Amino acid sequence: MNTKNSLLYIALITALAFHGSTLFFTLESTYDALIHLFFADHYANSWFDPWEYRWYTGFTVQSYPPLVHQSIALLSYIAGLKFGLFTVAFCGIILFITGIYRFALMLTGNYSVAGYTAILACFSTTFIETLHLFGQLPSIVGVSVLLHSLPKIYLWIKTGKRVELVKGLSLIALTVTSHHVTPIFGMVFFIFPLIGMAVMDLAREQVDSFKAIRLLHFWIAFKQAFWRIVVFGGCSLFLIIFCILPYWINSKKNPITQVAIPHGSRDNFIEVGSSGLVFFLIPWGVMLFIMPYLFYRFFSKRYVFFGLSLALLSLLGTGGTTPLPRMMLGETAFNILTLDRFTLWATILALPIFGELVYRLAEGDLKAFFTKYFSSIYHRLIGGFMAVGLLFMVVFTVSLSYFRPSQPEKINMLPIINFLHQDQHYHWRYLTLGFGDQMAWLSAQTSALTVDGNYHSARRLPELTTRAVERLENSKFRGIEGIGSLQQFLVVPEKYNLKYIFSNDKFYDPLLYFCGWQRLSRLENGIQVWEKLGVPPLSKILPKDESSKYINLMWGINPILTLILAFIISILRRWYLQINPKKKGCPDYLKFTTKYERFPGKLAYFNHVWAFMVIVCLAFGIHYYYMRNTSHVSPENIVNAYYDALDFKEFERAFSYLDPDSGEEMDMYMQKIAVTDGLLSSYAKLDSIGTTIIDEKDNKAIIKVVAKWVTPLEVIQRTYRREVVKHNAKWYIKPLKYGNYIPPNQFYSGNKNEYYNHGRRRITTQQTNHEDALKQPVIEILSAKLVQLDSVYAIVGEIQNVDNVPADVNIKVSLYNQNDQKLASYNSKYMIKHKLMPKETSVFRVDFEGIAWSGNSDTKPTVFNPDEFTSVDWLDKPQKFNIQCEGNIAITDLYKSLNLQGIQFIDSVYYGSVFNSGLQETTVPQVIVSYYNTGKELIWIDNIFITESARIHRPQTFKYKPVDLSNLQIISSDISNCFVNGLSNKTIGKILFPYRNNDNKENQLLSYKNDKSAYLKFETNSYIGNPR
Amino acid sequence: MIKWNTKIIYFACLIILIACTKANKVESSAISYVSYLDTITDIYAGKPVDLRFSYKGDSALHLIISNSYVQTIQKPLIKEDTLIFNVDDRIIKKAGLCEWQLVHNGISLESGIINILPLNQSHNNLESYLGPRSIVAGGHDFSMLVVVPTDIYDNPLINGSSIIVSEQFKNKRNKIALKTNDFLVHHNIFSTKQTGPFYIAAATTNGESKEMESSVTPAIPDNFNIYSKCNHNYADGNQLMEIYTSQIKDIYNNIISDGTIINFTIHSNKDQFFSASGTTINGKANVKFLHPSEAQYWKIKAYVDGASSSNTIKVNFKQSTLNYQLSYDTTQRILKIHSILSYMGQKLPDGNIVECRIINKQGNVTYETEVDTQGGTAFIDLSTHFFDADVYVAEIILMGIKKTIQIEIYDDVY
Repeated sequence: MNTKNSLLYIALITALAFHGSTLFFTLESTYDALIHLFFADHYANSWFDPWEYRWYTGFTVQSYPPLVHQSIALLSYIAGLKFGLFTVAFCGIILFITGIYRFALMLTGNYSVAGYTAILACFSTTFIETLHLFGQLPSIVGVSVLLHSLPKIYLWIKTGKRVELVKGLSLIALTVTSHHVTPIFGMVFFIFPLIGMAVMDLAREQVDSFKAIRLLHFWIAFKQAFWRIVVFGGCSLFLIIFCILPYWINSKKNPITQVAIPHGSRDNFIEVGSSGLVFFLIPWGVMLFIMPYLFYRFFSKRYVFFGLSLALLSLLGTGGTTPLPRMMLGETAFNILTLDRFTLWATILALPIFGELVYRLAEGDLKAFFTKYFSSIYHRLIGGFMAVGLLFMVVFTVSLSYFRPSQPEKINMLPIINFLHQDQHYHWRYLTLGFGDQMAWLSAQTSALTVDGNYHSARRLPELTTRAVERLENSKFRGIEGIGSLQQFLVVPEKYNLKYIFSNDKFYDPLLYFCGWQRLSRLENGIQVWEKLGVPPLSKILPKDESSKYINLMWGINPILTLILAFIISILRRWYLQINPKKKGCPDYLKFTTKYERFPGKLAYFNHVWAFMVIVCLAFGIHYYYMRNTSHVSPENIVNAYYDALDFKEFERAFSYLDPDSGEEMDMYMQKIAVTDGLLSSYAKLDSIGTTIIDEKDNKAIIKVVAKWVTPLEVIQRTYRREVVKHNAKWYIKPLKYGNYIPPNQFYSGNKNEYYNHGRRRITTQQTNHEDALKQPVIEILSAKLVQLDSVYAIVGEIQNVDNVPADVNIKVSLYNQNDQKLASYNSKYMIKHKLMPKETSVFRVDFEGIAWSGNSDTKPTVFNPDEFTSVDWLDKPQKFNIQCEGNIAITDLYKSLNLQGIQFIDSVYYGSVFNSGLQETTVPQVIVSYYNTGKELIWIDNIFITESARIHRPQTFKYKPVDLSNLQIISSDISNCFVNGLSNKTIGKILFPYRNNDNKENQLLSYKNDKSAYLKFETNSYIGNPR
Repeated sequence: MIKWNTKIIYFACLIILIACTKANKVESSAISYVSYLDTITDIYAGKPVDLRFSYKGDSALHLIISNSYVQTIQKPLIKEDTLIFNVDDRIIKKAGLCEWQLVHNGISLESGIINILPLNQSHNNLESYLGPRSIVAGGHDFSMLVVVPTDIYDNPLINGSSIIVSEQFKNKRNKIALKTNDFLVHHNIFSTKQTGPFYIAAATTNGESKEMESSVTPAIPDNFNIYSKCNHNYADGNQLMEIYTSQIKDIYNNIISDGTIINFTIHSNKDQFFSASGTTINGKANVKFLHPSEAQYWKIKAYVDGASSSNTIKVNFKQSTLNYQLSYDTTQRILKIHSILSYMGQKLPDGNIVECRIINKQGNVTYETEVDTQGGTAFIDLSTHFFDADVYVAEIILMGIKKTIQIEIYDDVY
């Protein structure tokens, strides 16, 4: 065994044992790993065809360098995709450790320092984070190979040996095909300083010491190396372009139109502590304490270019903490790049110097310095402190995803895959909700298509590219933009052939229901399947962007070719040389070693002061965090903590904040919680909470709480007046009173109609027989009007299910100008009862939503509002309309037992309550209000959602303030262009409802005194969260 | 020299080329003599057909056959001086005109038309369609039956083929004889006045359709009656009143279909409005309303939108709570509403709303709140709100009874 490399072997074994065993518990729940798996699946199935249909509406995989994906794909032929993934991850680990070893050896020329660096690299928090938290395999492979190439490039510049150039370039090619950003920025931050160092070393050979180098010497050396630099620069530029030429062509052809998606690395790390932790504290880890040493060493003459690079990288890595990175990168680049990669490179760059310090501390001059000026105990203490710090950061980083999971729990995909493959469900697109990055793993296992996807840069639909949404499936975390994007897909699903939704997050349920979706079944893994009726299947031939055959061949062959070439040049040649040894001298960089003889005293002292300052800052930070997050220390904290606990449904914790003297018991409290349901308590996410102390005296305080909740349907803002009390120096919140209403009877019975659609299905793959398809229920459009209120155009109207079976109704309206040019088209959303019983009527309003903020000049709101409405850009004034109404037999969600009780008009507001006289709890009651003019013609529709549920046989109060319709204009009332199930609306009425009696409908109206509207009508609609 | 040589070679090539093409033409013009031996015009589908030609000369002849289904080329069988074309059986199975052409090197020598007739007998599976599968009672609405009788090769039978259509409604059967026109038979079956499924079958001499079904569903509902049922008629804000309908029938006396929605509306003399929807089972629907909490007079009516309505019934609710007491605890700043008794002198059932307004000396409402009763009492805790030390009037509304009390608020609670 080569004793010089013994530390490297120890590092490799440690890394493989540590990362290798941890990998199986972390990699699959990282952000990116499964995306790479999906890409790998693409290559495994169609190596040379870059078009991938399964995400978005199709995209090209030529938008991401393919080597890592193709390697996984190749390995997957042996034992499956995950085998490929883990094997490539193992390769990544080996490459990183050996790469950093070689880099350190080149930088310091000292085997021991390189060995220490390799060992430190095993425990480098930045590496752990990139691999185990982010799962950025291509990035890791890219940077590791780049590190391997650095010594070769150095030797080429320094000595001009062609073989080194070939070796270096083969590795550069490999880097390019693994990750495109790494070589481009690597050029600036790694290779330029490296060239600088090589030239410096050439200059050093002219004089006796680095100190003696003057500008003239450097200039002479530079001239000497100039052509080598030019040759290398030219060749690598060629490789960067040629190796992934299809990528560049594609980037040119499909420029990224995606608006910037917020990323934590662009935050102000002081304001957003969590981003600071993940993108600054964790990557730097223990190195934060030795910053002065790092910069002192890097700004020595030999390393000065690396010093500049490190300084720049560290600065850029601080994101939005200071305005400098934004100024340096420019607005566009700042918003596209994720800045965490700069910190990653900075910390990798700094590792060898950290290794050097540890070497000096363990067995070098620093040990002697400490022993001489302090004591050997102090030396051990410092060593111990660093070791403990390092270990703490390692354990903390690895376990971060355990304590703060970034992903939902692992979902068993098999039932979903079976569902998609059964009954030809793959003929439609599907959508997942609340799957996190696991949606990529689902996609990889099925051939079915989804409208969503997990690779933002490849998106093409303006509904997605104009929103800063990561994925539709986690749109709730992106507020208005997210829900807004999602809504466009849910309301007009037929545009995307979207029929099935797999929901792993009940947050979206009310949104789906009120958009007209219905629950199908719950799969074995607990995933709720939602379905939309009447969506046509995908056409057999889907659109595709063809790219040239040569480009596709290049994309399929180049990366693997670079891998084979690099393998032959770097590894086979080395083996050959091992077998046939030639006498060779040691590499040039080993000539420039630093002698670690006398540690600079001033630096040691200064670093002590620095470390002390870091400790003080940390202590202050922890104290601040503690004071802000410890519940009982102040009146505001207790209120914040209480609502936070309620938001996360940690009721036991919430109870612990209640005043112990209030007589509230845990069981009673939990009972109250158990009977509370509704939009606010079950489907809301606390968005912000503001507390103001109204008055505080001794042990009591009154606090005004303004809480804002985001629900899938609307934003709810509530103001509470909460009383807090202090006992034994701890603050507590006083509980609120709950309603006392008790229904009169103990037991209720009721009958209901039940339906089942058998449809006479046969087990056959043939098209369903004509006589086995269920007849579509007949709907009649009673009236419809094109109206304009302020600047908004809408269609309001009324429909009736004139058939004898329950119907699911979908209404699609198109608007035309005077010249019959189509201006806009949209479907009915919330303001309709989508499920109608026989002879039931429903009013409807269709708004015409455009794609929000599609214009560049539009300013995006910073505040979330799911109710946000973006009107279509009207090219002309709409004059005519066409309604296509479709009915399908409905068998679920037919609950109609929500009564309106005691509606009364007092001081321009309607007060009333809904009374649930049925036997199912209505989770979200909706009240639809329609406005009629003096001629009893429908002119406008509005709705409200009641935020608390209507429990069985209990009333739930609501308030409604009528809208001002003084600017309302009726443009058209012509319903001659209305069609139901493709048939003319006129003929339907004649046959099914020949003697329509309009008076009886009008008698149900409430008179309302207003200049425009004379009558109102209230209707209810109910969403049942847990149907029995 | 070289120039001359090139020219000679060039001319030689040209001559050879011309000679070759000429030779070909000469061969092609050696046309054979052909005569059509058969005179086949009409045949029944499926019968094998041989087209025979006598010929002399070149036998490289092809037959182009085309019908509505396909166009194809056939090679002949040669027997001595006769060419026999055995027409492909896929073509002869297809009824309709079948054109043939005998061609030699792109030149049509003979042509003709064979009229392939459908067989007289139909296939035993009759192609039949019936729709829509549900129609409304009363005779306006109809289902249409379409039968396309075909032979065993799926050729529609000739016009005038007879079809017997049978209709079975309850225990009544009706048979109609029809003749095909334009290859098919269509027949409208108008709805009866009575509801129920009817069954349709069609048959030819040796073919039958499958059983087809269409349902006559109830027509629009006729007017109906409603009734109310209360346990007592006190306005206690707690008990339920049930309103139910008579059995609703359509104008032809059929019970309307299950699930039909009936809208109930109530207008009270206190300007309050109530509404509910019930779905029918066996023609009857019922809904439940909560009793009001103050004496009221209700006018109730039910509707089927656009179709029919019920009679109007009137319900009178008597005041259940006649009085209650107010007291105010100055030190605790708690307003107590107590002795709230219901119609028998019992404590009022829990959960009735107490509205409270605190009005200052200037007559402005400074604070408004709502609580509900429990065990015949209710407490309004005014200590949670900040008031300037002063004298106020508390206005309480409970069960329709308004009461006021003067309250003094001191500074020292907070």
